[in-house]
Amino acid sequence: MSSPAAGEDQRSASAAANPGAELAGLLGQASTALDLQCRAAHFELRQTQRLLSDATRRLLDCFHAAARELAEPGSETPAARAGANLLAASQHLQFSDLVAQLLNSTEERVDGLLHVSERLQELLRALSAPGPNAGERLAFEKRAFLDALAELEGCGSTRVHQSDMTAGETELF
Amino acid sequence: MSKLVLTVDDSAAIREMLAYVLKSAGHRVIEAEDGMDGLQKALANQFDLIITDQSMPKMDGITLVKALRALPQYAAVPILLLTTESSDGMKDEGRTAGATGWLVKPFDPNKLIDVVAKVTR
Repeated sequence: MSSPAAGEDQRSASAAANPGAELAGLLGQASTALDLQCRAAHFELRQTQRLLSDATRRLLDCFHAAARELAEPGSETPAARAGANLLAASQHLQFSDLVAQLLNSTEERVDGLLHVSERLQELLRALSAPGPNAGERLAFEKRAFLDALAELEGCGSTRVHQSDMTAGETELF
Repeated sequence: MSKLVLTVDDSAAIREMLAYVLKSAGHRVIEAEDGMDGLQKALANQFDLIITDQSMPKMDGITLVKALRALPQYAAVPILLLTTESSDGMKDEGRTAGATGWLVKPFDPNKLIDVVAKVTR
């Protein structure tokens, strides 16, 4: 059985022998990461739209209900009923927190994608740039590119799973 | 009976909604915008109940719960975590830290009032 160091040596030797295959491998990694993050960003934007739409509908319902109660002639307790509608609105107004968290996550994801894209461009430039330090520069750009990919994997840590404004569960320990 | 409640959340909208709901039920409310701010306000006042978010800058909710539980004056004061997170792992972490309960956002205002009444009895 070969050791991990021997395996790494073999991969390096193979990459040196076939730089085209190494580049294809790096681009494949980039493509997979970009695809994953774009799908996640797309999902978060759809989730944000659904939250906004649901919250807006519910807030408008509360607003109209309160307005009707206040306008109703002979109503015994319009203020109390309007108060109940405002209390209900306080649940739906929490959408701004959920949406802000989702937008922060998507922004972080898009920043990560941009960074990977920039590093990929630098890597491709290094691959096509001849010169006495070409090898060193290529090694640096490869490391920077792989670091950007690793950062991308860690981004977008939102824990917002809600897609509508239904109240969450309550649990006492 | 009116209670003094500390609400800790980095979202101004959530703090305002919590204050509105709790005040409508007759409670007094002091707001803090992160865990560190919450801890400082908890040291400066004696609260009957603390409601805190989990994900916040400077100090998160579970760290705040641990810090408060280490203080003799907050050893038995109810602390509720109010958060978007609902994973069992995070709940276990909250329970182990000493939280009294876990509420998932968005909160139902009437349910919140009931829970506050129950834990501050």
